[in-house]
Amino acid sequence: MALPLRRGFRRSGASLSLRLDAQERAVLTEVLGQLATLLEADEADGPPEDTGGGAAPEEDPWEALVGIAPTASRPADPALARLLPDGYDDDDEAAADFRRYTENDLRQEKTTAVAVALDTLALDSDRIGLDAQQADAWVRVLNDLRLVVGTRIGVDADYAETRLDDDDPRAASMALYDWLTWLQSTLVSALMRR
Amino acid sequence: MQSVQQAGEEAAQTQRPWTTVVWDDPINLMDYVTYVFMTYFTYPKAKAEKLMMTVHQEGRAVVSSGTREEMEVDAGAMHSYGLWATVAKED
Repeated sequence: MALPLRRGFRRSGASLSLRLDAQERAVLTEVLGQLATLLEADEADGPPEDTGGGAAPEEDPWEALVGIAPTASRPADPALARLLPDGYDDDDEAAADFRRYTENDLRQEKTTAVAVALDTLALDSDRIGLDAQQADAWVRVLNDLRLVVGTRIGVDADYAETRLDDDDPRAASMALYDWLTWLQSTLVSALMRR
Repeated sequence: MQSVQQAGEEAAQTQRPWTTVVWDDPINLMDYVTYVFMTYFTYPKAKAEKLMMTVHQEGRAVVSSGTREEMEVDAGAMHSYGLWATVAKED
């Protein structure tokens, strides 16, 4: 991906703006859609299918109402596990309880932020203007996208020194990751400049 | 006999025995981590930067302390920002 001189996010008073061309908006819309799909509770994370007939087990109406999952375990997908990490690192039982009580809300918060970002992109204008709340959603979403792409391509502490051949299958993902890093970095600078 | 200061510290220990720990990772940008500490905890920039550097250099930093319930709220907030945080009993 060629990177001409760009300015990234800019601040003007309380609002922020960003210029993205149609192709860049299309790329972001595509990866945001993939992030939303990843965040949807998948089959493996849900309760087991009821195959034997009769009432489904473990379905507590109150728990369902307040968003407590009957079961919740650490996602097998490393990228999703990075978005929804354990809340305890040395206590499996506490980590499982923490997940049961918080994971649905966390998924919902992240999904809502994705929806806010998609809404601002859907206006189909080169200039994207954001108020403070939308900017907060954008900065979280850009970070979540970097966590997913970065986990997939195995970003580590030595990433800055990584050099790939142009025909390396990871080259496109790395270019995407670097672009997201640049975008997020200009947004954080703009947010800190108040 | 205990000094007033010692008694005060012990009282503080019993009231704030839990902590939120933020862990280093190679993806989150240093400025972003500082921004999160300033935004969520409303820490001054100098304190937020110092905590960020501790995370970066030592692999982890205690970013808040309080009751277990409060720390679970803080850890959850860090997760919503994409930082990796865990709740731990104070050392």
